[in-house]
Amino acid sequence: MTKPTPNATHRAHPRHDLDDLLTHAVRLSIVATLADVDSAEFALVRDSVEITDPMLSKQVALLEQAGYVGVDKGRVGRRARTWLSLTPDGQAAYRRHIRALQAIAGLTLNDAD
Amino acid sequence: MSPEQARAVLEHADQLSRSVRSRARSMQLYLGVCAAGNSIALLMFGLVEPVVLKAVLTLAAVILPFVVITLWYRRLLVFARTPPPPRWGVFPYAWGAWVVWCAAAWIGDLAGLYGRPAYWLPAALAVAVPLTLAALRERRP
Repeated sequence: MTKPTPNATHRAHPRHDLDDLLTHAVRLSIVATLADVDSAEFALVRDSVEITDPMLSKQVALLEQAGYVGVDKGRVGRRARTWLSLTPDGQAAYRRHIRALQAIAGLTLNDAD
Repeated sequence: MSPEQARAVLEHADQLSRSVRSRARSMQLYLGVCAAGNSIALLMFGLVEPVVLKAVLTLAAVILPFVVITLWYRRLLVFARTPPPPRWGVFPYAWGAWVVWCAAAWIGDLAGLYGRPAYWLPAALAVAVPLTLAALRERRP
């Protein structure tokens, strides 16, 4: 039986499956807000995550750059509306991240970081 | 990250997802209101006597619910996960509703059944069937 290489052992820990972008609490909250809906309005996401407009804009720009979130601007009557939605890449990344968190949550304290 | 922290993060994410999902609306209500509008329009067509009033009420019963629910739908802040637009799946039901409506009105007109609820009430229910089926087929939020 071959002994696992240090690198292979290192990669086996579920924390390596965490998405770097989603380890940020606000970004994870934004993605979680959009995870189970088709699209949500900017203001609703802002209020749900309890952050300011500039903060949401900044984090959404990062998520959009990564291809995780789609941004659609439109109008309803005279009001400008911005719709946010999770892209298929964003969905996949979120699911992977959640699976990794679930794996970590299932570990004992000694196994974790 | 400790298991406790991971659990707390998971719980928070789940809570957020659920709270937003509970505010999402699919097209169920939209289709249901249009179905009800069609039925009321047929009742107006069959049961209201003066021709001008009949025409006005019939048109109002078709147009008003459609306009109101469309405006309401456009103002929603969050939409349920549904198949991507265009929603071709709903079109056969909409055309079906229109065909049943015209057939019911035509038969009632030919047979001179104006003012007889025994015909127009079941006909109004039949008219609601296609869009109600479409609404039932919509995925819940």
